[in-house]
Amino acid sequence: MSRWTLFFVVLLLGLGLGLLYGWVINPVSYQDTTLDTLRIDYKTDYTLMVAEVYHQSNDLDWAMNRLTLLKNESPLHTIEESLKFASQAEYTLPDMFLLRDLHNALKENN
Amino acid sequence: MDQNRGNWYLLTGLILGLLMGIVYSWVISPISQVDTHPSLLRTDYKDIYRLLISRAYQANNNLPRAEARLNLIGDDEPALALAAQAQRFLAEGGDHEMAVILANLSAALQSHEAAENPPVQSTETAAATDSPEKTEENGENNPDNPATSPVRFI
Repeated sequence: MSRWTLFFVVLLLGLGLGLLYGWVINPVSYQDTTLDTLRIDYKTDYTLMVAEVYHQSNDLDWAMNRLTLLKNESPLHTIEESLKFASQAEYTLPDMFLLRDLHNALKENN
Repeated sequence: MDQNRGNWYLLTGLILGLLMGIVYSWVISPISQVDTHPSLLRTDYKDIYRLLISRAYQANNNLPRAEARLNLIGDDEPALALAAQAQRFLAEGGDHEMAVILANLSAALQSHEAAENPPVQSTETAAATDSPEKTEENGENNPDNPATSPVRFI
């Protein structure tokens, strides 16, 4: 094997090790993230908070505005995702009721 | 002469490859920002999150839940962080009602903390002030009090 071939083989090996280190062993840790990057359980809890406030205030514009910060296709899509997760995670009935209440209001508004 | 140069070119190739791999994985194409935790949110989003927690507390009056949610943000002193945000809000000419909502949760947390951790008293003072009747009246220490019931973590 020529020196150049060996050089490129070792270069590729180093490249692979570098990628392994940067993506798996020591990936970039994020600071200053936005709400849309939150894990689904935190997003669902965020949506639940909006639903709790909406249940008291009946301010649908405010609720939609808050849900828009999660940057989904639409607030309705956000609440549908949250309902799906809440159902899987076996949220309590009062919490499910609040989420459904907001879901129905958004659906009627659409 | 080539033989005398040894195998340093192999080490050079390996280091070069490693550097290229690290630059690519950290700078050019880092892993995408998904599934993050509220404690990593940018300061302004943390403010939005805190305000939402305060509004939800105003709506449901569930202090343990609000406390659990605030803990997710990772403030050392959640009550102080809320109070500071309320003051900042007012100083920046923000909505007075929102500042009050933040301050209310801050006050509720502080009074809850004070009830759970009463100040240490000297033996004489404690004997003069504490009475069995007072202990029984203290709802915060009552395990049946719903305000101190455990939080369901999501």
